[in-house]
Amino acid sequence: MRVVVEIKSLSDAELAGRALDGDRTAFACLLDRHYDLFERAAYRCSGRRDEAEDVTQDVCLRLPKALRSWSREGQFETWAYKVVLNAARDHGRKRARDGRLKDAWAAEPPQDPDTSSEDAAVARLWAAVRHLPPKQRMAVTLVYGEGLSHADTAAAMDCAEATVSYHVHAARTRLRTLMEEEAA
Amino acid sequence: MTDDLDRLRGDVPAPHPAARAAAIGAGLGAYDQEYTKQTQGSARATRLSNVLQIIRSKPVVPHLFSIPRAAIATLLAATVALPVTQFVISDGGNRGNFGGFARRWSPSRRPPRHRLTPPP
Repeated sequence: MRVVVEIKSLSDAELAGRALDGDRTAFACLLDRHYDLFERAAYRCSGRRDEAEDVTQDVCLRLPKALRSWSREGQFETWAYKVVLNAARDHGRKRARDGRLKDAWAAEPPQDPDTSSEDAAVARLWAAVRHLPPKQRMAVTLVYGEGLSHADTAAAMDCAEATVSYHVHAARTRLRTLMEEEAA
Repeated sequence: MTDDLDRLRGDVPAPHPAARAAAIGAGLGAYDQEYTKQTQGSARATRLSNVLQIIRSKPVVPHLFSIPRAAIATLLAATVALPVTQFVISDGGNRGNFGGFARRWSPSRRPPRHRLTPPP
C-alpha cells in the first residue's frame, strides 16, 4: 500500500523516468493519470467519441516506444499532447484512406458528432473549427480547447511560438468568415 | 469572436470505463513487449504474432487476409482465451491488406492467361 501511495505522489517526469527504467507500476500510474487528458484531446480533435477512444487506445499502445524519445526536458503533458496529435492525425489519414472499407465492415454505421453535451452554438463553433486546415485546427484546439499557452502549443506542435500565433490569427479570421457564411 | 472561442473549453463526455480499462490494458501489454518481455501473456502474444507472420507469407486462402485486423485479433484472442488487447497486429505500414498480399492474390487480379498456359 505504501509503495502505491509513494508512486502516486511522484511527478510526471519521475514516473516517466521510472517507466523508462522498466518500472511497470510507474507506467501504469502514468497511463491512469493521463488517460482522461488523452481522450479529451482526441475527442476535441475528432468530435466523435468512438474515434476518440480509438485514438486514445492507439496513444496508449504507442506511448511505451514513444517514451524512449522523450528528452526528459519540459513538461510531460506538453510532450504527451504531441503524441496524441500525431495519433489523431494518423488516424484521420487512415480513415480517409480506407473509410469505405471500414464503413462496409462496421457493425454499426458511424455516428454523427456527439452534440449531446454541447449547446448548439458551441457545437456549431466546433463544427467550423473542424473545417479549418489541420495546423490551424490543432492550434485552436490546444490554445482554446485545452487552454495551453502559445509556448506550450508550439512545443506540442513542434514549431515556433510565432508560428502558433500566426495559425491562431489565421484561424480566427477563417472562423469569422465561416460563422458569417453560416449565419447568412 | 474571442468570447466565442473561449467557450470551446467546455466539458467533453467522460471516458467510458470499459474503453479506459481496455486502453490501459493494451498500453501495459505494449509496455511489457517493449521493456520487459517477461509476462506470460505478452510472450504468448509474441509467439502468435510470429505464427501469423509465417501464415501471411504463404499463399493459402489468400482472401482470408483481407478481413480487418481487428477481426483477426478477436479470432486469435478467442482461440487462446486471452484478452483481445493482448494482440497488436501490425500491417507493416501498408494499407491494411498485409503488405499487398490480399491485393496481389485477389481473383480480380489474376495473372494474364498466357502465364497460366503450360510451356510447350
